[in-house]
Amino acid sequence: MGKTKKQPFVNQLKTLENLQQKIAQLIVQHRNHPGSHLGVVFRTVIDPNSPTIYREGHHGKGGIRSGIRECDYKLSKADPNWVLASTEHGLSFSSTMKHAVGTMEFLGGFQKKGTKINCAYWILEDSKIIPEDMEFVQDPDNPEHYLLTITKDMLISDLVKKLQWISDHMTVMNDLTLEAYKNA
Amino acid sequence: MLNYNEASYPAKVLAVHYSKQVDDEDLVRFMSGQSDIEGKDAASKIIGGFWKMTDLAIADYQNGKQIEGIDDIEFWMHKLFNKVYGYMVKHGFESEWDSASQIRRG
Repeated sequence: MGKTKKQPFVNQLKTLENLQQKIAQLIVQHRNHPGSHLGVVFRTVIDPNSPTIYREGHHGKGGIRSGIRECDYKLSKADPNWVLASTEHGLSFSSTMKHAVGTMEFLGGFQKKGTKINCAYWILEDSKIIPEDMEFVQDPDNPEHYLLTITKDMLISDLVKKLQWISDHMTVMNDLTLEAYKNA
Repeated sequence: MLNYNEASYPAKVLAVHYSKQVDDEDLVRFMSGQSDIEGKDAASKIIGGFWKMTDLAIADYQNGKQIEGIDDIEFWMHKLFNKVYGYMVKHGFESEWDSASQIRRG
């Protein structure tokens, strides 16, 4: 066995414990809300992106259009102004504390030194809060992972508006930020 | 077994690429969707292999490398993360996954 490589957050275990407590508390408070089986969902947010919209240069290595990563949604090859409905494409969300924290740690490992990695949550008071023509689809590979999909083809400008609306309704736990302290 | 389809094909490409770099035949077979895991010890070994693969992927990503035509290593490794993590949860190896995560935190 080679030398074990440690996660870049080893000096922030207290923050991690606080984060786990906060997420667990939110799940207890909001899970099984009438009309919403999810109740609350979590998403990793890499600074300086918003919870659902990426900034160019902070979106990874693939393409980006109007703040939407081309890898996240299925863009029409015939007309890239259109996004196609697909149950296999959508922004990634966590439904459990373990998945949320694990995802933060996993994605955080890819970030540059000093990058802030936050957790944002969205309280789903009922299923009607999700914008029209969007729905959460459980990842068939991972029961704790959901994709925020679109159920009808739409203009990318319309998807941006919906995602912006969602971002405005999500809360970033800024007081519980992890930070990549070294290049992995 | 891990399942891949057309939409997740790049995740399979990276899974095979990095498992071959770790040089563990059991890991290559599991990551390429050709075998299941039999028992907790085997699960721990596969999980350890996945984290070695992740470290290799992080290094390539930070160095701006492209792997077999794939630029966005972070995105596709995240897909693979969900597949491997989900497999462990669904097949009774969640505690092995948790233990490895704890060790990785230091």
